[in-house]
This record gives sequence, structure tokens and C-alpha cells, in this order.
Amino acid sequence: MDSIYKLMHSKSPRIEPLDYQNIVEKYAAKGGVKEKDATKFFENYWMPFAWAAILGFINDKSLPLDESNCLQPFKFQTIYNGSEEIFFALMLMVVGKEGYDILKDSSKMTKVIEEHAKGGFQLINTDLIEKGEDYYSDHNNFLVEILER
Amino acid sequence: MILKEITLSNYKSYYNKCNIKFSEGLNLISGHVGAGKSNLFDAFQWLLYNKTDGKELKDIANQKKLYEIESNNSSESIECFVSVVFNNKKIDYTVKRYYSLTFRTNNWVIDNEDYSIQFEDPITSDFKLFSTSQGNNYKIEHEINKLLPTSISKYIWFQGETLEKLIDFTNPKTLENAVDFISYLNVYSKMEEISLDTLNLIEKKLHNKHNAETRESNKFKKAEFEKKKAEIGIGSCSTKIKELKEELKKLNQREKKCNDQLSILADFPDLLVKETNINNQLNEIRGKRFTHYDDLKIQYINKWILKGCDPLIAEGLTFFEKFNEKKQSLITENNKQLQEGIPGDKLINKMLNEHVCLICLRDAPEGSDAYKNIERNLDKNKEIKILDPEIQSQSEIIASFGSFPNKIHKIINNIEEEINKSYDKEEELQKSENELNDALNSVKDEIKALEAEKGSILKNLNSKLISSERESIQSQQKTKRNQIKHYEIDLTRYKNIFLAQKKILDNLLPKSIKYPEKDAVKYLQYINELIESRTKEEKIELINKIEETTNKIQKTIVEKHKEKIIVLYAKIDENDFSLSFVDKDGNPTPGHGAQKALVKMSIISAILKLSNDYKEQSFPFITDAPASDFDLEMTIPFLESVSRNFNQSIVILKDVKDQLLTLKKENYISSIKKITLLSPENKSASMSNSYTNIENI
Repeated sequence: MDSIYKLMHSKSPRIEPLDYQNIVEKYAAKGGVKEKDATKFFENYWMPFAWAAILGFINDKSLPLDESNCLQPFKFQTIYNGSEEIFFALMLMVVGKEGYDILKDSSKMTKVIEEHAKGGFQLINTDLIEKGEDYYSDHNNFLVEILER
Repeated sequence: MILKEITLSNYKSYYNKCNIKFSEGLNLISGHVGAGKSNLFDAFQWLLYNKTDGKELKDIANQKKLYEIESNNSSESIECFVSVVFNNKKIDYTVKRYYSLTFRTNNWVIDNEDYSIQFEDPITSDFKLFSTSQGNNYKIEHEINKLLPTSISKYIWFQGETLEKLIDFTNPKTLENAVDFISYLNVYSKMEEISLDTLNLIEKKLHNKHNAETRESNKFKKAEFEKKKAEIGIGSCSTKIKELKEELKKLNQREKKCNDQLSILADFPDLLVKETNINNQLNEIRGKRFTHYDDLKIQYINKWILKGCDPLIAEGLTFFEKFNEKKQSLITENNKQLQEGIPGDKLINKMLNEHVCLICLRDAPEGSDAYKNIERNLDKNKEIKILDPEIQSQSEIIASFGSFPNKIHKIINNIEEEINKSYDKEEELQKSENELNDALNSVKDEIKALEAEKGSILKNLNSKLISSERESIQSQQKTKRNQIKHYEIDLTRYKNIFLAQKKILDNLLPKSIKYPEKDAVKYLQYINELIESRTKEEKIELINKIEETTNKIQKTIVEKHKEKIIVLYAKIDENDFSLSFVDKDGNPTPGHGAQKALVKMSIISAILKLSNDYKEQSFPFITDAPASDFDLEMTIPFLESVSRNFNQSIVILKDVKDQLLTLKKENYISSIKKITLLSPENKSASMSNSYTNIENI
């Protein structure tokens, strides 16, 4: 039996180094670290990626990746393990954007998610530029961002 | 003391009576070899110490005189003598050694021999004469020794040619003896000897007395023992009481501190409790806020982050619906095809039950190949095997989304409400925290105001801890007081015993002997220790003084003549009194004969000079041929040095010939006498026809 998990679990989305450095690393604690880092809102690297991808989808902002030097810090399996809802929501949004035929091609699905994540990272960066680089250091602003959607 | 004059009568080369007068300062006597210089020196030695170098008296008489008597066969007696007049503390002492010779029957016979000293008694002003003819040998010796102590005489009467023999500075004893002379160490030594003898005597006596007393007084002994025991008890109890009182004092101070603190705290316990309670509540609220924050993060990533995704998700679901429609149409079409070609399950089951194929009517017994073929067609028309594998896969993938789309939809619908609830909760917690903070600040302000009034100690006080500490202190105080009481009882008991035993001893004492000797022993032991340490100190002090004075003398010599001579300095070891020579920088140097002789002369000068300083005794310095190594260049500095260091000095020099007139001009020389040997013209000089002539220059 095929399934969306089977199709996607081993795929690793790519992240451009700058986005990885400026957002993923900045807001997420490194996975496997026992001590909680109170200054970081996210507990795993996949979380800011999911946040960025969702922002990209919602705002219909998709950007092609600069293929060189991209990082692949986790697989979709990690997202699935962390939150099934997020995993399925991302997949549904891909189908919503591209149609069900995309379910034939896991690489294409991955690419759609990566590019929307890049779009989302750009939106976050714009926020940081406009509202200040410490804007998301206050956890309330994550909620503000959600409520303002 | 000075030597005023010497008179020689028919002594060695001195024919008939010759008198030489000396004055204070430097008296120089010069003469060529054999003129009689050393005879003059020998005259002193004979006079004072009866030294004749092993010669008989006849042989030290003037040979010219003897020859004259013998030639004339005269019965005339020859008077031979040497006498000197010393002036010491304004009193003249005349010392004379005398004998007379008579030529009888071809032999020289000694008629009279005498040794005498005469002076005016400084106390009674009586004229005193002690002579051997009167049997006063001891008195003469005593008086001479008073004038010229034996221990110093070798430095006073000094013959340079025998310097090394006479004064052996390589022998440490030489300087040690000099130190003994200069100081009163001999007196100390005698005192020590006497004190030790006395000590022994007293201790012996004391021992005997003690033994006798001990035997007689066991009761005394017992009482003394008990008294001693009581004394120890009193001492130990008093010490213990003192210690305990000290400890109690400290405990009292600590108790007072606790009381003070508690009295301060008594006014504000509520505030402190309130502060603690608020702090506890604050901690609780902060804990809740922390938990809330954690919860918020979980909610955020699992749910709230999806806000706004619903249109796209709905779009996705629309695509799923489209796909399902497509799939359904395919299935319907296929089902139609199946119904036409394949019999239904009802007919197949009938064939299997009847074991016959109803299509071809052949038998199909159970288990046969025909039966299995019929059976294989069961349920075939229910499966959608007719769908394209790609569509089938897509269908499976879409099916794998299961109920999640609905779940996500529900989540998204509730997000706003949940976020608002979370906000409310956060607000509520924040409000509580703010209120508590306000309350805390208010309490703190109150405490601060009270601290300002009562002092900052309030801040760190804890009434419970202080009370518990005070209880512990009070318990310790109680123990200490009990201990003090106990020791005070013991102390009283010991005091009573002490007084009782003292009474017994007082009653016994008249019968017993008190030992004043014990004190005497103590004092004598103290004196001995004092003498011992003083002797050691004084020896070191004096040996350093000798070194210092010697080097000072040497320095004055070199100062005036540094271009002509190089002077050595003395280094005397204060431990073993050994002498070594060093240069001006203190580096060891061997030096040559004349340089070393000069140092030795300076040491002699230093010893005599220090003797003057220490004992207020001054002696003339009389030397014959001070150093054979000296040339004129060395002699002049030496003479200058001698003149500076001695009140009176008599230096007998080898013939300085032309230099005499030069020396005469020197103002440090008081008198110069020239000694010559006179003999008849046209005859070679012999002892029987020549004699010494003294001439003032």
C-alpha cells in the first residue's frame, strides 16, 4: 500500500545557508540538546522551517532555491514524528497549489515545499528588517503574526 | 708612667757611671753595630728581670774596669749596677740592681749583691725602701709587678730582632693572653673560681642540713607535700574558673546579641513573614508562567501555526474530491464490464455445492482441478483490479491522509479561540505577578523604612534561627555555670587545705631550718653565668678593638706615606684569635717581612694603647732594633706612629748616620742620643780598652 508518509518520509527539504543561519539556528534549539534553551521559541530545527513553509503557502510566496551549498538538516519523517497535523497540512497545501497529479512525484512535492519555505523565510526576514532584529525574540510576536494572518 | 732616667755603672760596655735621661715623647737612641745599644736594652732586662743570658755577674761587668783593677792588682772594689727611675702618678720609684766585685788572689769575688726599690708611699708619704738585703724579695717583686705587669712587659720591653720568637702571633694564645691582660678577665676568672668554690661549700652544707632536717621532720615533709598539692589544685581550679568565666562571658555576649536581635525583630515579624509569603507566591506564579510558556510553544507548533492554511487545504481537498470522482467513474465503467463476462458469486457457490460446472455441465468433485477453477472466480468482480496502477497508487496515497484533513480543519477553526484563551491566561498570570510584585515592593519599602530606623541588621535576621541559637546558648551557659560552681567548691576546698597545711608548717617552721643558703646558691649561680657570658663578650669585644686599633694605626701610617709604602692590615679571628693579613680592601694577602713586621708593631702598639684606655695605665714603649727588616723609608713612618701612640717611647735604632740630623728636625722626636764606642787612638778596640759613650744630639 502506498501512502503519503511512504512517499515523502525519506525526503530532506533543502534550506539555503543564510536562512538556516539567520532563522533556523536563531530561533530553534539544536535537536538532541537536553537543556532547554529558554531564549529559543522552537525546540527543533524543523519547526522554523514548517513556520516559513506555511507562511510561504499562505502568502503564495514561492522562490527558487540557489542550488549550491544548501543544507538538509532533517527529513520529512522528522516533521511527521513531531507533528502529523503539520506534515499532512503541508502535503495538502502542496496538492492545493499543484493539483493531485503532483502526488506522483515526491521530488517535485519536496521542491514545492522548499520554495515556499524560502518565500516564507524572506517574509520573516522582511519582518526582522522592518520590526527590528529582536522582534521574534519576544514569543508574543509569534502569536501576533498568527493572529494577523 | 714614664721612665725618667737610667744609670748604668760598669755594666757591660758602660764604663764607670753613665746616666741617660729620658723625657716624654719619642726618645731616639742610635748607634753603630757594637756601640752598646743592645747592652742598654740588656740593662733593663737585667735590672727588672735579672736576665743575664746565662752569664755570670763578673761577665756582665765592664771589662775595661776589670782590666784596670787586674792590671794594677788593686784591691779596689768595683760597683756594678743599673738603676732606673720611673715616675708613676707623680711618684718616683727607683729600682736598682747592684753588686760589687773585688779582685782577691787572682779571682773576682762578689762582695755585695742587692736589689731594691724605693719610693714615697702615695698614702702615708713615708719613704719606703724594700731590698733583698733586708729580705723584702716578695715586696720588691710585688711593687715592680705593680709598675710593670709581667703579662704586658714583653710588649713594653721589646726587642725587634727577636720579634718572631718573643711575640708569636701565629699562636692564637698570644693575642688571647694580650686580651686577658688588657681586660679584667683575669679578675673575672678569679671571681668565678672563688664563686664556684663558695658554691660548692654552700651546696655541701645545704645538702647536709637538708638531710638532717628531712630525717627529723617527716611531718613537715608531709605537710609541705599536701600544701604543694593544694597549691596545684588552687592553680588549676583558678585557671579553669578563669577559662570558664571567659567562655561564659562570650556566651553572655552572644546571648545579649540574640536578645537584641529578637527585640528588634519582635516589632516586625509580620512584615518578614509577609515578604516570605509573597516571595513564595511569586515563585509559584513564575512557575505557572513558565509552564504556560512551554504549553504555548507546544500548542503553537502543533496547532496554531496552521492558522490561515485552510483555504489551501480546502483547495487540496477539492483536488482529492476531483480525483475520487475520476476514480469512481472508472470503477463504474469497469463494474459494467465485469457483470457481462464473469458469473456472480451466487452461481459459482451453487456450482461448488453441486460439484458441477453449470456452464459446461462437467463434473467438478471437491478438490479436483475443475473445482479449484470454479472456486478461483469467487469475489473477483468486487476488486478494482481493473484500475490503472498509477491511479491506484494515487488513490492509496490520498486514502493515507485518512481523517487528518478533517482534524486539521477542526484545529484551524479553534485556533483563534485557543490563542485568545492563552492570552487571557497569560494576562491573568501577568496580572497576578504584577500584583504580587507590587505587594512585595510595598513590603520591602516598609522593611526599608524600618531598617533605616532600626538598622540594617533587620534584613538578615531570622527570628526562628535566632531563638534556636539563644536556646542553645542558654543551655551552654547553664552548663558553664554549673562547672564554675563545681570548680569554686573545689577551689574553696583546696584553699582550706592550703591554709590548714600552712598553719601546720608555720608551727613546724621554728623547729625546722630555713635555708638562706638556697638564695646564696641562686645568686652565685647567677654570678657564674654572668661572668661566663661577660668573659666571652669581652674577649670578642677586645679582640675586635685590637684589630680596629691596629688598623687605625696602620691607616695613619699609610696616609702620610702612601706613595712610599704599601701597608697591610690585620684580620683577627674573634673565635680562635688567629692573625691573618689583608689588603686595604680586605682581601687576604701574604705581604713581605717588613710589611708584616709593621703590622705586628702596630698590634703591639694597639695592645699597649688599649691597656692605657682600659686600665688607665700608661707604659713607656721601649724597643731595641724594632725591625731589622725596616729600611729608613719604613722606619720613619714607624717612628711617627710610635710617637703618636705612646706618651713615652724609647727606640734604640741601628746607626742612621746622616739621617740623625734630618730626624732631629722632626718635631715628634723629643730627644736623640748617639751611642759610640770609644777606644784609645792607635789601638784596635777591644773590650778591655773601649767603652760606650753617650752623646746628646
